[in-house]
Amino acid sequence: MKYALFWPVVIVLSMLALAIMVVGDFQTPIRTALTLWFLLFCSGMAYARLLSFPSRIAQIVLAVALGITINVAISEILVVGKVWSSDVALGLVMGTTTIGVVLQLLDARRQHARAQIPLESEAQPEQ
Amino acid sequence: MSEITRQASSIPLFRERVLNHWLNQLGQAMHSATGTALLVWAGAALLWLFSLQNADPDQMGNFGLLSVLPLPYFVALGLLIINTTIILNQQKVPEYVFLLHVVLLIFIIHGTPQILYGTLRYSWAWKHIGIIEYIQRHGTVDPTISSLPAYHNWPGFFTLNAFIVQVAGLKNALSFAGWSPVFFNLIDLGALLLIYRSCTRDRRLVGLGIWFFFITNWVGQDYFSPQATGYFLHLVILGICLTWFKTTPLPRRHAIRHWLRSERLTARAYKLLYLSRRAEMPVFQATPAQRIGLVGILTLFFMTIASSHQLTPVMTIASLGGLVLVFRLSIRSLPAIYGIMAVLWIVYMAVPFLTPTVESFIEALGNPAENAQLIDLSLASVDQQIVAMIGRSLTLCVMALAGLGMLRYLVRGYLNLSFIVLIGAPVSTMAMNTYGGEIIFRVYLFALPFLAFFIATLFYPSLKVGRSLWTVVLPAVLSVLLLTGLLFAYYGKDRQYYFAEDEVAASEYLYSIAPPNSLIIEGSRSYASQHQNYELYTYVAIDREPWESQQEIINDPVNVMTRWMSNRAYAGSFLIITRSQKAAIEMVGSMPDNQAIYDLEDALLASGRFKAIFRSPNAVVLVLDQDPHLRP
Repeated sequence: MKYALFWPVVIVLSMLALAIMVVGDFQTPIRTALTLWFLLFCSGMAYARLLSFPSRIAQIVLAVALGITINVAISEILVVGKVWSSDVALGLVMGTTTIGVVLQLLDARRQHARAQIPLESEAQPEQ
Repeated sequence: MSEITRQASSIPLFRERVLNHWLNQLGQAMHSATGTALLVWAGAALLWLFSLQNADPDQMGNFGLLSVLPLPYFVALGLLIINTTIILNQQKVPEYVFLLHVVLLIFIIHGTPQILYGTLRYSWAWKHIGIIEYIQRHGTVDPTISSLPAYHNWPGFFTLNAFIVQVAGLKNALSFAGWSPVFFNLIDLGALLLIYRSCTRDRRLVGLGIWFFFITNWVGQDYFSPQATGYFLHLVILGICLTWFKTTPLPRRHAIRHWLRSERLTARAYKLLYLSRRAEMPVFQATPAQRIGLVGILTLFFMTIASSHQLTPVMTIASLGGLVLVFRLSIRSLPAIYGIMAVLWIVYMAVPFLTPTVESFIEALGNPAENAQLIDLSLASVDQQIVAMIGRSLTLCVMALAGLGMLRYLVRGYLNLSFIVLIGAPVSTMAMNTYGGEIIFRVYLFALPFLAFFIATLFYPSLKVGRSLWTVVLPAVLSVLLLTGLLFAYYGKDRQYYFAEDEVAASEYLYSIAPPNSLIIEGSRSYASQHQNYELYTYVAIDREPWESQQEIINDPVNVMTRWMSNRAYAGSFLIITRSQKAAIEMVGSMPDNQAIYDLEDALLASGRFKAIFRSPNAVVLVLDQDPHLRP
């Protein structure tokens, strides 16, 4: 359960840090790094972990590819639809990411609950 | 126990248990093969960084960046090669050590230009910055625009970067675009791992395949561009399909008979399919929910490709179609679905762009030999002819070595039909278009992951083979040869791809003062151009003018330029000549006389009719001394 919380916590903290940077309009290289980290990785990681693949490489590759895809989709719809606003786009990406994180937490809770149920053989009373 | 006492007792506890444990582990590692490998890796990294202090890109000669790289740079690469081929044969060395070596290779090859130049390499990357800047200013794209229209019809990559730039609070994408080659190669590494692990559990084969990919990928399509993004997503789609949606049960014999309508052919096809099953790993198990999720992801990835680049969707559809044909993809309708998605995008967005090109597209259709024609090197300088020939020879070597590897793999009883098809599928696109004379190199790029894998099978055709000293020595020798070819082919043209800081300053100054609807005359297109207000100007590159027109300029530069720049149809007229433009004209041979561009600059400055409004050692911006646009 502890490990299951690691990525949701990292993603939410990254999201909060970026939100503070954008709202406060801090001009620092950290903001660039944080933007790239959150948009290209965290937003994808929120969903890549839902597939619960054992391979860490597969998870990271899917996270980056999903990060690119989610951001292209949202920004492209707004640009082609002539309603472009980076704030709206960021809000949508953060909303999408939050949904992914919530789903991850629900999944972790479900798996944790399943692990708590003793197997039939273990549940047998001692003779 | 008080809080202070508890803290005091926890410090020695930490020292004893945690610190000592890690120090012991580190000590053991340093005495092991892993420790030695890591020490050599660190030595190579330091040597590389040290070597960059003595390299001056302004001194670049005929072989581009290669001509200014000092000896320690090559020693660092040599160490890396030897260490990599050694650790690939050592079972005890963990995989992350090998991956660190590939990461360092990527930084050495692709990070060096960015560290040394400090400016964005390659003129097309600057144009991409310009499209992003257009989206920042207008908040939309214009599919009917006359200048660089393709980017407005497939804008995915540019909208993504406009988004990043604005969220990061930057003025433009220049602060991170230069590191794109490193970024794209790093993420391609992950995608390659996914692909290779789908067909073998031999760690050496996976490792050497990846290594050969990165030392033979000389095409240079990994810069800040839509194709680099599309290429990564294309590899991920193939990785997912080969890992989770591969068909392992053989099709029924009567099904093949139904398609081939010949007993003899059916028997052969069935034997091939049987052999090919040995070369595959079993399908990775996934739950129904995971499979549904993956199908959704595959669709999203392709949507991104289809809305970002013209050629990559064709390559993806051809590759997946090939896998379906040889019964290696369980979602048999995927290529058709992707085809519909690509057509829908064209209908929705790209019709205005494609309509004028339909005629030339139909002409090129079905002419693979003509489409694959390479550019004429007869006009290029001798050194550029050598660079081009090395690039072409490297391509041929890779194909020949992959052929040999395929044969050795087959002799051991393995036929990786999926990978063979994935080499062949991109070739089929040659029948469709010339893609500006580049199609053959794009085909090479899309086939390269699988060609590189087969070069590795030359040394590790099965788990039991490849344990002698030769499997260390021969890959190392081959790596030296291939890497030499890569360095010539990848760095050899950098005299025209590198833009010194004062060249960039000249370009920025020009765009800051040129009023909208100005005429910008350039020696050639190879400079930091069109990155700001790009759609507001008309660009004329002298070396792209018809031969007769160029001859006219050479014969009477002052009067011809005065006539061009006095045109009152424009709000202003400017001539920009930079070092990189001169280098491009010399290297490509795009003017009748290589000296012509130097003579033009001298003649205009000496005439008294032109004045330099910006002048630096590497660039000059000229206007007419008595600008007719300013007269009433």
